[in-house]
Amino acid sequence: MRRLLLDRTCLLSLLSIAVWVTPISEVEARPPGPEVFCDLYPDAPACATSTPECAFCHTAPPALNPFGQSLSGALLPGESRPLSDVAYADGLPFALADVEPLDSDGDGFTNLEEFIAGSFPGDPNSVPAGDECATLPDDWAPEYQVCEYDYDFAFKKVQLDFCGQSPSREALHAFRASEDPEADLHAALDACLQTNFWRGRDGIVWNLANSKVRPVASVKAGEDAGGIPLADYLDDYSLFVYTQIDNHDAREVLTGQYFVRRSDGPQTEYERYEASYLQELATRGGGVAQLTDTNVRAGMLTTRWNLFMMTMFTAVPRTTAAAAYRSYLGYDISKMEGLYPIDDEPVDYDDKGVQEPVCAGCHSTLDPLTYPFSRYEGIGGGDRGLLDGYIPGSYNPGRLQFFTSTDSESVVDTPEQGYIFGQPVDDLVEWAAVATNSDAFARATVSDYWELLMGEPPAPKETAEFDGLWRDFMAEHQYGVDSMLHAIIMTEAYGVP
Amino acid sequence: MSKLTRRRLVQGLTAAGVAVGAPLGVRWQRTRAADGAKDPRFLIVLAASGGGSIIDSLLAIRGSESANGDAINTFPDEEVLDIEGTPFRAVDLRRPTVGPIPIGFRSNQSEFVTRNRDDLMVATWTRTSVNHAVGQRRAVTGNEAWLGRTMQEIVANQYGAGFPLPNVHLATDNAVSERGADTTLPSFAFGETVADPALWPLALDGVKGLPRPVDRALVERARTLRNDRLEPGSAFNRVFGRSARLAHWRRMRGAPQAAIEGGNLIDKLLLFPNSARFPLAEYGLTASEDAERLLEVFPDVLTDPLDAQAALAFLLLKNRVSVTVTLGPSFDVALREGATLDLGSLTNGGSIDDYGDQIIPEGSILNTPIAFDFSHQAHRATQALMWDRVFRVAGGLIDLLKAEEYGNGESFWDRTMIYVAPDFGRSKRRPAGAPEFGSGHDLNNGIIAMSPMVNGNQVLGGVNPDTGLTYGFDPSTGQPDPGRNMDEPTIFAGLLQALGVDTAEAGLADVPAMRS
Amino acid sequence: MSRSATRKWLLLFGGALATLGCEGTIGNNAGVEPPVNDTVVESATARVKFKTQGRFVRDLASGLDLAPNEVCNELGLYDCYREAHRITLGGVEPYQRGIRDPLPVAPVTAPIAVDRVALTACATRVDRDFDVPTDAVLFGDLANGPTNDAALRAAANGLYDRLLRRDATPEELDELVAFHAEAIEVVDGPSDKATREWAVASCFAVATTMEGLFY
Repeated sequence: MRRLLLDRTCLLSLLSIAVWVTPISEVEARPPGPEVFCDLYPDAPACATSTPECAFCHTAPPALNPFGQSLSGALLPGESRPLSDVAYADGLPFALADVEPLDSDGDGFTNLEEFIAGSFPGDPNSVPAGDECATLPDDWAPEYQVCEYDYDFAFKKVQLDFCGQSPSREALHAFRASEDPEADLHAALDACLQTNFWRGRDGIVWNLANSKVRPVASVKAGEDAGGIPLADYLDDYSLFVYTQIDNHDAREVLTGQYFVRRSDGPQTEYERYEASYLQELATRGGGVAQLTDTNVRAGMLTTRWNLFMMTMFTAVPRTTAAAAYRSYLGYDISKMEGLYPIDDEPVDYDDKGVQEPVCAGCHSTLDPLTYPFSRYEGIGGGDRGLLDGYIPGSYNPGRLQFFTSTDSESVVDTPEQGYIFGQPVDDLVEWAAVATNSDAFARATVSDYWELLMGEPPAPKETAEFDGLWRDFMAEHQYGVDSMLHAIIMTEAYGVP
Repeated sequence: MSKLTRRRLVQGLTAAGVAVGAPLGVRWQRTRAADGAKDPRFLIVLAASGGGSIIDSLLAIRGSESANGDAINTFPDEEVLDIEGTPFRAVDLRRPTVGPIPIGFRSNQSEFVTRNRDDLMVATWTRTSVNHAVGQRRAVTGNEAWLGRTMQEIVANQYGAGFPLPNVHLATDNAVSERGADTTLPSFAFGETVADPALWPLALDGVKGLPRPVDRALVERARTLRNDRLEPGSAFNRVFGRSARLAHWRRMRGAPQAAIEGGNLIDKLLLFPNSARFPLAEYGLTASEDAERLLEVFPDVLTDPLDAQAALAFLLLKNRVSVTVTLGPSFDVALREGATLDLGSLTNGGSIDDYGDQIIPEGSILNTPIAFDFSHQAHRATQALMWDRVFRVAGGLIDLLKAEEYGNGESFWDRTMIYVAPDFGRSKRRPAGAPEFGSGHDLNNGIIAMSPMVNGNQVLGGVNPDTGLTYGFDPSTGQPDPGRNMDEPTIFAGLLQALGVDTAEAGLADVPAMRS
Repeated sequence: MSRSATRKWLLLFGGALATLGCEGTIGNNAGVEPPVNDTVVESATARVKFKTQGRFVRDLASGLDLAPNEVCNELGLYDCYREAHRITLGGVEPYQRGIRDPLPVAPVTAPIAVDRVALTACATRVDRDFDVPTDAVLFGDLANGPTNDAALRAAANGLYDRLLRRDATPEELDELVAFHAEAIEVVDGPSDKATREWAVASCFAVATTMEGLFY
């Protein structure tokens, strides 16, 4: 009977979507559409440094865009769906050949033209560039220099993107008169990066953290406390912003073992400070103090807010792990991204039914990803109260013993050791170190800023520029966001109107 | 700086031997509005945010009925009420706390079910994801069953062509309000986000209610000057004019804007009567003629975001502004004015202090943190409190719409469906006999549709009392089928068909059992 | 449909553009403007963004020399951007409404909200300039002197200078000057009021061009 009862119970389902998964080297592609495409069109810009992204065929996977619909119709017509990976890979070259001469999105260009030009064949707003730039007179100097990097255009954008305001006429004229516009452009960016519009409370960088912090006003503690004051998410925002400004090491968003104090003013200041949880309690009071001690901290993962709001009352906090994976590494397990199944997992220590086939596909990655989070208290949970001596939001190696009556006897067997990207880690601190040294972290961080500044993900023809950015972010820029931003504004994607 | 990539790309194109005049293939056809716009039906999507469990409401199970009554989510027999003349059940509870939240509450399902039984239908289903955002989205796309269109977009496309704002999303923190994937739909079909029902109506007129009046006729002429004479020749427009964002903006400035302003919607949709907080009269504005009545039906409209959403939803339908509205409880806790909690009372539990006094009055909590998903901490109480909330809002809307004549003797309610859309179900097990427990997410569940257009007073499918799992039904006859699970596309199709939408284009199953 | 039929890559501006405006212009920036040209090539990406997260209101405020909180208050109580139309105008409100990113597509009400904000801000600027011409920012000459072609042209170019950060083209100036006759018609006869209302409406028209809203 127990098995029957478990049949449908799981925390994440195995999705039956046949999509071209993310263009990510750590992810095993299923089915291998991107690779087949790049074998056939190795010179296509979309294949310059990686493989085509989901938007090549999909709107929101599994929904297909017009090109995806054409391709789907041409792919082994008459064969029952879903196709096996092998059948899919075998049939795809023929289907691609069939749709080459079509104009699936009706923008006036054939799919093949779009493959080669690096525009999206399923998006009528994405078209190959024309050749007019080849025929213009050498002295052509329009208001918008669409054939080359346009410093004036980039200057205006930098002012709006980073300072929040168009430049004055005087500033524009001064810039146009510059003998070294590139240097002046970088100087303008440097100045904007110090503005409150960029780095202040509710500024642009701050708002990049919204989906990671997921603030809830009614649960806020400290200033402007809500009806249930539990924790102060302003601490999280301050830590996030600090790691993103002044060329600090962005990896510390997950590895920092310090806190950050914010001082609002004409130029908001962020000051890093060290404190044990006892010092926190003594200086800030129990209502807002951070409660993990120094050596077990892992940046945003172990803040009071994150642990209270994500882990809450849960023994094995899968939600906390999945959110971190999505927010900082760009992998949404519910969309089957970033799957690294571990042998003999999931064990289902907390008796949630995750071994069922429909669940195990994702949970063989998610559960070992979660184990290192299991020693951190949320608000509470289990069969105890605050008077039983535990500290909410703290590291507590023995906490699972209190969940045996509420979850299962075996919950205490949940290991602290887990896996990320298939690599074993001893604890959450190591988890964070592995995470932030990965390509995925660099890619996700740069992607946040790319989409902020371009207003959309990289187009296929911009893949090389984008990949160059995140690779440089890891090496040349040493995870300094400011340096990366100086590189972004010099890209063709940013500076050519 | 070289004159770069674009030339090289074109050279590459030529080298590849692509014929510039290659025959064009399949054209991307813009979907046209369907023909049914003259005979509208209305859809209210009411999200059961966080995972409303059908076996905690209309399909509740008595412990004595189950071979595993102690092990699965069953109720003490006396807590499950049969509703006479219906296949439905109801659970009316009173509890001193909502799990760790020391606030007592009372919930009542039986009154709503009794009152609306003839228009209630339960259909079971089994979902494909237990991720909140994915489950929410699939609740309205049937797992992308029709090119990724949402139900709201489909209804707006079918019936909304003549409406100023056919599809309005009032639930802002829920993927049921996400844009669908089919970009070929006409732009009017996509949802309009309303973040603040109280102040949003002020954005329905560019001129009316301004602190310094400007002649409307002059503004219209200035708009014409801008749109037709200043903008087209500008270098900005010539260089960037084909941008999708600019095209969208141009489109919105046309017929949609004329319909919104021409209909004087600003005065029809302002929710609140003139007051110091909303000094409408001072600015030449008037509140909706229904403002006072709405305060009676939704008395927490000033403090409870869901009440405010519901009030505006009614006005949007009644004034024929929209054909579909989407609302739902937020994931934020809501307390009655004056009620507060702190960490100490949360972690210690209990609503009675050391002196035996009630710390916070019963009924002070309106919405749990993370809505139905607070079931992770306290399943039984959360489900009870949140179902009560959903039914209370639905009941208010039904009463209002019944009282509003549509025409030819029909009420608005005769043409409306409320679809209670849960993220997914909840796990069925509990620690042996536990009266309160935490639950996980589960694929298995059911939906509730409320409408004269559905097969009312029916449970389509059923529930196995030994497992807590629901099972399916024959889509044609509605006969229960314990060997069958209903999938998302089938329920999606059945709901749309009840709304008069022809789903043949999408190749979806016919589900006559779900319509009246 | 052939590609040549669907795409007009080369768009020719009229020759008149070559005389890009100097008459009555504000400022003394001649000599550093980009060279005049008569060819416009369409952007291949046409990648523009709305001025989200308060950029539109900030630009409007600075263009009209208003403090941000003077731009517009609904019902005299609710700041147009921070409270009333924040989400509609591309802002976020993560704390209470869970809107953590600007809406991906501008809502239908956005152009109306933009019009409303711009009209209010323009009316404030115009009334201040006309009420106290000695402190005028944009319309001092019109407030102090006769309403003639030169004065209208100067004011019109001032709008482009301050709101779009460029000089108006001759065609744009002609259009705005001609628009004064429409203001007279609507206001029912030539008067100071007609000129004042022309100033409000012209300011509004320029401020809400897509060039003023997107970048």
